[in-house]
Amino acid sequence: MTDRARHPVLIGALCFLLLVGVLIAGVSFGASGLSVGNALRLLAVPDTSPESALVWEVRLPRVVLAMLVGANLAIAGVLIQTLTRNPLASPQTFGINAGASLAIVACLIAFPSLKGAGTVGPAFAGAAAVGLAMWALSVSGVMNELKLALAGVSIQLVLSALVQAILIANNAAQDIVYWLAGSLTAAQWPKVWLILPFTLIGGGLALAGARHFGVLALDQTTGLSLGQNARYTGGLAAILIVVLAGSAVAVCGPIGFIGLLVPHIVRRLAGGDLAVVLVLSAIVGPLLLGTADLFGRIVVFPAEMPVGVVTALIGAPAFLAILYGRRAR
Amino acid sequence: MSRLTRRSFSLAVVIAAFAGASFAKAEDGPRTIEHRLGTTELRGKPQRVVALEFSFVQALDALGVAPAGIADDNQTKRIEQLLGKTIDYASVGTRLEPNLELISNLAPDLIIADEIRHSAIYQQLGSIAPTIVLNSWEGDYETIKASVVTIADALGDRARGEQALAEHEARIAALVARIPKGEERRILLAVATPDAMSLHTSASFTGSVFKAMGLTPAIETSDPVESGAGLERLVSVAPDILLVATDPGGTVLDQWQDNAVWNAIPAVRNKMVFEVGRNQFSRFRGLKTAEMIAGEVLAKVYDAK
Repeated sequence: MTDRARHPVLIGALCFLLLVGVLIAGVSFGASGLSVGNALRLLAVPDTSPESALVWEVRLPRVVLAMLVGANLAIAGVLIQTLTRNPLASPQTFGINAGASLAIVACLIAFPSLKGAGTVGPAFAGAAAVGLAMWALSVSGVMNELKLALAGVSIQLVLSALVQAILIANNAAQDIVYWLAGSLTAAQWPKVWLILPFTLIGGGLALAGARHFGVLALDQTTGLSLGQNARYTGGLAAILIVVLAGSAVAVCGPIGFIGLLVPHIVRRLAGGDLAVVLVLSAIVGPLLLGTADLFGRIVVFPAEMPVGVVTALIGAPAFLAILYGRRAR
Repeated sequence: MSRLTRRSFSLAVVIAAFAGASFAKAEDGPRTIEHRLGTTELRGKPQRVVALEFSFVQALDALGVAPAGIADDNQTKRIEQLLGKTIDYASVGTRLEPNLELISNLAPDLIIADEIRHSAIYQQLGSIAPTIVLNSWEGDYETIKASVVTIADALGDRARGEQALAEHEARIAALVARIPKGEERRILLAVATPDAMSLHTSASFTGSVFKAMGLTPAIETSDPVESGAGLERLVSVAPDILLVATDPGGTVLDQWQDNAVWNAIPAVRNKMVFEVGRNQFSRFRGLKTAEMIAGEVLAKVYDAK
């Protein structure tokens, strides 16, 4: 742990309390006239009324889905920044989200009846293809941090352009514009069950392997002298990134900035130990995404703003602020 | 009283139509067509017309003109469905991005464009052929009706447009007469997409057709469409009659039907949910489409054949 570490347990507990607050707010607030008190009462004691169903079948799965997706993206962000030793890396900036999106969009055009679990396969394939390319570039050592970040952004731009091309060429595809912005509107329990195993396994493995992944953050020579096979460990980290980010994109579209922002916030709060950063990210990611979704539901009430738009609106200036703060120090 | 006024109005329209017919024949000289982006000078009777929106194709058909070119989104089947028959025409690409070169190749003598989709290329279209710009994309029923007359005017036969309109209104009135009196239930058209629904309000084409039928749209606002609506929003709108427009393939409708909240919607409780075709109810606009919508609502909601 570095000297910047300040009571990570305290910070974690505080963030967790905030997270519970967001969860409760998310369940008590909605477009229908259900009062906050009633919503909370029904959350505690469900009955067979339609209002209870609203809380349990519409609001709760949405909030839970936001938690899982937030955790996935944040953990994937920590791993990818560690793996590539690049503070600008994230599932979004390295084109992983865009790869998954392109694969899903292409498959939706080819097989219009594709839905639910059917999108996970293409999402993994797309994310893996981009992930593999980025990992190869990263371990080949031909690119420094900056070049790698630029390569990632270029890949993302190309893939996004391809998605645009498909959308323009195919009218039916315009329906998924909302999904493409990153949206939790369609959250239901089946989607939660879909992503839950990937969150648990991906997050669990990331935490279990934190000690090994942490060495990746050092340069390769140090890693080798510590007896680590960087390619093997890096490969495992890359698979985890693909699984975590790909499954998130499959259930709610490409949501940006969570994976980029959360690792920076957490490192500033609690220092650099990877295990601590991972655990805190699994709390702060959901906190951030849950808050953004709540905001998206309020700002154009009773209509909704896709959560991906909110994370971009909040995330971009926040990231600039972080970069500025770093320089100023 | 109101029926009497309507009838006498129809009569007046028919008389005006005949008067106009003899008048139009008298002069084929230049005439000025007023449209959304200004005025356009036309002379003679345009024969080679390019239509950049579906509603214009239907209007031309009602006026007995087969368009030379159509922005058909490269889907001939849609035009077949729109008109209920196969016509000979050349595709000029998508409605969103019509291909100017293909339009120019057709050497048209009239182009009909949409205000929202094609304002940006108005100058270019104008350099190919005289262009009139109408509101189709966000056009409500009244706008679409007025457009038929404007298009007829542009074709040099305003009378035919007024006649087509009078005939249409008579057909709609006959359909509306069969709706039971005192209907107060609120009706909503929702377009189902893979993960949300788009709710069509009173300002949408279908919503304004509902209004013209004497029905009450469930959302009364000036924005035609509210997109990205989730299940909770639908519950809060609480429509009594719900028409769900679907495309072939999976939509959110399949997922929602398994959700207990779905049953909290009055329309679902009272078995007043009907699936309708998305092309007819949400993509197409026109007199014929309005008649089709009225007819299908009668058949589905009121069980009237």
